[in-house]
Amino acid sequence: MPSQTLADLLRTPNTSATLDEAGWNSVIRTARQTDLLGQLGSAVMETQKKETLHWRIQRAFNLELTTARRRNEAALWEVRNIRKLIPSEIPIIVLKGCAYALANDRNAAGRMFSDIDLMVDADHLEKVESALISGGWKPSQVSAYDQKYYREWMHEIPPMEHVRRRTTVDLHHAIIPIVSRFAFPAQQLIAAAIEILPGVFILSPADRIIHSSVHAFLEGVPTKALRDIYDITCLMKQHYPDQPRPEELLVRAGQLGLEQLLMAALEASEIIFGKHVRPRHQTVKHSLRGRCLAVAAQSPLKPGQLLGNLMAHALLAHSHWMKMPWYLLIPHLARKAWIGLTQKNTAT
Amino acid sequence: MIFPPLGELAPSKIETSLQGQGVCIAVGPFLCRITSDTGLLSSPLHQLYSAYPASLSPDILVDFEVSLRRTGHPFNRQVEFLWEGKSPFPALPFSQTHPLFEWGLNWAIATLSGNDVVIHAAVVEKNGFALVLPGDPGAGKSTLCAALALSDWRLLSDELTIIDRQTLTVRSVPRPISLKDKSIRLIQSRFANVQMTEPISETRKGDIAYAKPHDDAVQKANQPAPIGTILFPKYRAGATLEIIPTTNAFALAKLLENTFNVGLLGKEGFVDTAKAIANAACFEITYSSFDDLLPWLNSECLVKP
Repeated sequence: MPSQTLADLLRTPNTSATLDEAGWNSVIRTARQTDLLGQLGSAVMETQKKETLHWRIQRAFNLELTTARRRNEAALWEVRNIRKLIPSEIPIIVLKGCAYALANDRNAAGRMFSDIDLMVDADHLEKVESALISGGWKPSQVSAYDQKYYREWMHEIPPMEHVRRRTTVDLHHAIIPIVSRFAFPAQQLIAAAIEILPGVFILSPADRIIHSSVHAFLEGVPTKALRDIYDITCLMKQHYPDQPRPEELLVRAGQLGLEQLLMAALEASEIIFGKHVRPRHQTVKHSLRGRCLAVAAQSPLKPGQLLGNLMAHALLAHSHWMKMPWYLLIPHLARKAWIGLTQKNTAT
Repeated sequence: MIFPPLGELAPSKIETSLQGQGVCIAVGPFLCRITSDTGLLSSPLHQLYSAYPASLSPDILVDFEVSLRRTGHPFNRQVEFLWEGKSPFPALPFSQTHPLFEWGLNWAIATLSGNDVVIHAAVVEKNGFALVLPGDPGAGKSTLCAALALSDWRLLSDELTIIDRQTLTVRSVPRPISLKDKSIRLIQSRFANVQMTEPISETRKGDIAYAKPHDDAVQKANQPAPIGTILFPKYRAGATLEIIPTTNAFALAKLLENTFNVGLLGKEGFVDTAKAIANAACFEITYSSFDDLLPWLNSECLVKP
């Protein structure tokens, strides 16, 4: 039997009984490296009686599940506090991990996240930022260049940390850098957002899937891409069961100009996690972008493979290409390389 | 599964295993696989961990894997600690391989005990009750812990008081006792037979050496103990012994300040900590000599709560 990987187990968690001890060692190790141990624990414990698992495995899963649950609770507590700080006429949109927790999405169980990602309309950014500061969130001490990088080019401002509680808020005004070739006004997302608590919104399921797809490409880091693709897999199963290419989702991505990125992410999700979507014999031609994303995202699962490493670099290059036009990118990378050679600790 | 003690393996066998598939050691409730390409770990393992159950099997289920790896360049040889392939702390000078291993293992045990209450405090046991010794760095808790653990108290841990939230007792996770600067000489002169590593100087914590715990403490690693006494020690040269009883509420507040995962555990965490210490006797003490302190500890402290 070929060695079972983390991806196989996430796809079919009910097969975990076939794993031997050495197999578990490797799966748990990989899951820790890719921050997927809690979600693996949730998936395995849902399909299998606890008693059938070795107590060491139960202990490892339990710790992740408790930690994730506590962090979820703490984050939701912060969100309620933040809501009170910000003038009530300004809607706040919660993104990513915190949104999955608020929506009670299936991928939220055991999912670890540390930062609270919020989005507001760019017109409200200043008011929201000063409200957060008055509530104890301290703006990051970043260089003048990084301030400019964040504020003039990116889709978020530098992270803000609470002085007492050390919680971090990433305040967005879009989900894609404003200088990106894929940029579009955030109002389109805000208009379709769902009110989940009074004054607290999350993106619609379709937009959550699209955001995860964008995020997989934008971060340019294989482990993060793998987690995004697992999010997409879970969200698709939950919100569009048995629909590999739901019309509604594709139309929405088309409206936002993100159809190709969404398609590539859906393809990568099928390649890595997706036997359930289509029969094996049916050959579907995947796009180059989808296949490359799949190989890059799987590179942490099979370390040391040349193609995986190559694609991990390609993913990073693609993220830069996505983020900004070449006339901004080349000076930016040159500057980063120079700082990297001359001093440590630079921002993004 | 019962493993034979590590001491049954020849040092050369430990070295080749560290360089290869790894050595699995049971530390209290945790089984960890250790690998190292540094060549500097087999000797302290052989010296300090001889009583720990160990296995060389590459296929057994472990809780985690740690690895000490050479890094840096020829002019600045360094060592890095990897936990499950990730590096949680910065690399250190190569000569500090063994201290880095001990610190890393403490971190791993504290992290993986996150469902229990994990307090930064030394803890020893006598007559079935645990004596908890919290203390700021420099307060002498490690020295006091070493002095007790090397006499007739049983070492539970010199760094981590881990309260099992089911039974509200302190888990036993005995490890080599770390000693710094002057404490090294002090313990050596008091306990002539103590097995201790050569001090390593210029670590970020000053000179550091590790004393081997009694085999008995290692063999009783599965025997927890309820908390009988909490002592906040303060060493002051020349001071006469001063003992101030404190309330359990005061002790609880101080302990929570030293709890790694109080935020993670939320209200259940502090409720369980309060229950675990509810019957303990609590004291603040100032001392300058063990000879003053030990008789008091051995009498007063052992009165059953």
